Amino acid sequence: MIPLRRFTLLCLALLTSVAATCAGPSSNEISRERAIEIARSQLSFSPDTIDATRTDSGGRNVWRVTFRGRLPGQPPGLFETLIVEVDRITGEIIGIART
Amino acid sequence: MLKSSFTRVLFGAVVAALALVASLSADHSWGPYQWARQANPFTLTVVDSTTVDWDDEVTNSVRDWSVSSVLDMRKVEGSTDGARQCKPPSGQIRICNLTYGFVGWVGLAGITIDPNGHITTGYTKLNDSYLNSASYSSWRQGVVCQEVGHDIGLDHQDEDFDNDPLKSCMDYQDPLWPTPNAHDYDQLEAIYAHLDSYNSYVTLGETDGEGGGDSGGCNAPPGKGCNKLGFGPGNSQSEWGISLGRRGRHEKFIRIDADGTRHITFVTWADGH
Repeated sequence: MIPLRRFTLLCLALLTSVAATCAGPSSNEISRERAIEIARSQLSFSPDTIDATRTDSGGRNVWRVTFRGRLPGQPPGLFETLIVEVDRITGEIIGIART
Repeated sequence: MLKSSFTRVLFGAVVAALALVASLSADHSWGPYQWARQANPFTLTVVDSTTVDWDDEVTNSVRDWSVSSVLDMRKVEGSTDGARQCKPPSGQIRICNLTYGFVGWVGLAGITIDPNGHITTGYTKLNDSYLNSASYSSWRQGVVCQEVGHDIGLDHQDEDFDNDPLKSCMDYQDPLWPTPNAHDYDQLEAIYAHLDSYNSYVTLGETDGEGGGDSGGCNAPPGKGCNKLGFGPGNSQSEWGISLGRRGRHEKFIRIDADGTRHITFVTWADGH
């Protein structure tokens, strides 16, 4: 009985921990839409897809915004790609990658 | 009627001339992004983390971009470990190759920037998934050239594969042109025309072991640029790693990070040391 109680407590602790980790954005974090808006300033092409994910980069919490699009005459299977990392708190662009 | 035709021809010629001037003077800097430096020319360290089959292309591009009057590049050998992320050391450019998969890009260039908008690191990823195939073998030199061009602050000159080639690796064509053109060098001169109050780059010593290289150009404010916490080389011998040998007053040290990045420090000892 005691082991079962311990197991239940352990599960509760684990669930709490997971819930905390998976919790939504902190209140002072910029929104996904705002991050995309900031990242758009770096675009030089018309994107077909836009993706934004929460991640960390160099020890900072960032939105990693990825734009993909096609350029005139671009060989089949290739896409123009732009990845912009936006600090989730300050909105500052801290990294950019491009093809 | 004759006058009207003449006017039309003249108008057309003027428009064509203006278009030509516009294209020749078009700005193709990558936004405001540039390496901070206090003097020109400055020397960027390029950590070559590619496999041996990329040696020629990397060497050629380092040589080609070093033709610029405002910057030089110095290639140092780096570990191929960690190529998927290709994390560069602070103040330097790193080049990696890997079969990154058929993800839509043959080459990818990334930069990190400090709060002042200066580049603090650059990386180039070469996607062997495409570039090892016969279809893209003629692209290899152009891809290295273009991605390294991004790492030093250049954008594409043109993004239309179907128009006339500009004979620059910064122009999208199939295949990519293998070298920069005069306009790229002009653009670099424009980007790096002014000087900054600190350096965001770090120059490591030469790879020939002769010593005499500078041990670092980093003098960014604390916590900025190449002067972030934990970055070497520092001022104590323990931070330089192990000695590779001493000749007279000159001694060379090497420190290898967990990710395989090698930091080489040249020390000129004071008399009597």
